[in-house]
Amino acid sequence: MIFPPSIMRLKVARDKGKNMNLWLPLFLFWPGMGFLAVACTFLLLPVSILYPRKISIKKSFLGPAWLLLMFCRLRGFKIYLEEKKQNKELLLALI
Amino acid sequence: MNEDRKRILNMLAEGKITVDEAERLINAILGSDKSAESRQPGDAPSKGKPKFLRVEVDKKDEERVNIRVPLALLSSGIKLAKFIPGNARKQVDDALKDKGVDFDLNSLLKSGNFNELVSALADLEINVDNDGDRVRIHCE
Repeated sequence: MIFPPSIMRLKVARDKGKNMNLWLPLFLFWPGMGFLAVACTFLLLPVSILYPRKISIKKSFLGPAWLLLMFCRLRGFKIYLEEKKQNKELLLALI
Repeated sequence: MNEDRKRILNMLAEGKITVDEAERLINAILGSDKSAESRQPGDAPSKGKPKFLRVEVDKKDEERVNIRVPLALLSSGIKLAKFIPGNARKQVDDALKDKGVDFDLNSLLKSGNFNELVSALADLEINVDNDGDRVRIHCE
């Protein structure tokens, strides 16, 4: 079983200026995301019934679940950029 | 006494092989048994299944980039492409072709080989070193 990312870390550091180090607790949004995925399924279902050529019923069920799975699999994603001359740093990590 | 050894001794008793040949065959069996034992877990460090694709770019005294992408995200990202409507997929292919990437998203999705494609990435290792500038792409 794979859990969604618990914390998003965003760090912006400059040589002269304001530095930012944000630890965003994503686990607080987990229930909301689950609810949103279920709500999206119920919103897409009537659309797929009305316009079966645009979106199939199968896709209306699987689409939000896949999006949720994609979000879960973001766990461990990290981008770190550093400019050595100007002492600038940018870090985005999903833990 | 295992079956192979018993068979060799029977062949020796029947006179089908000489003593030297029997000795060589038994030694060969013992050797293969030892090598099988040596493959037990713990003796040899086993490389686990990689989970992340890492891209590191280090430009000497200028900039450094370090990106880590979960491999599971790549495989589910390709699967999510199934939800792209057919005509939009063609537009994606055309846009990629314009950028010099000859890629057929439709055939990849139809073949279902994307899991193999992602697992093949596990063996990928690219190391480029040029006057202190370094690019490294690998899985970990």
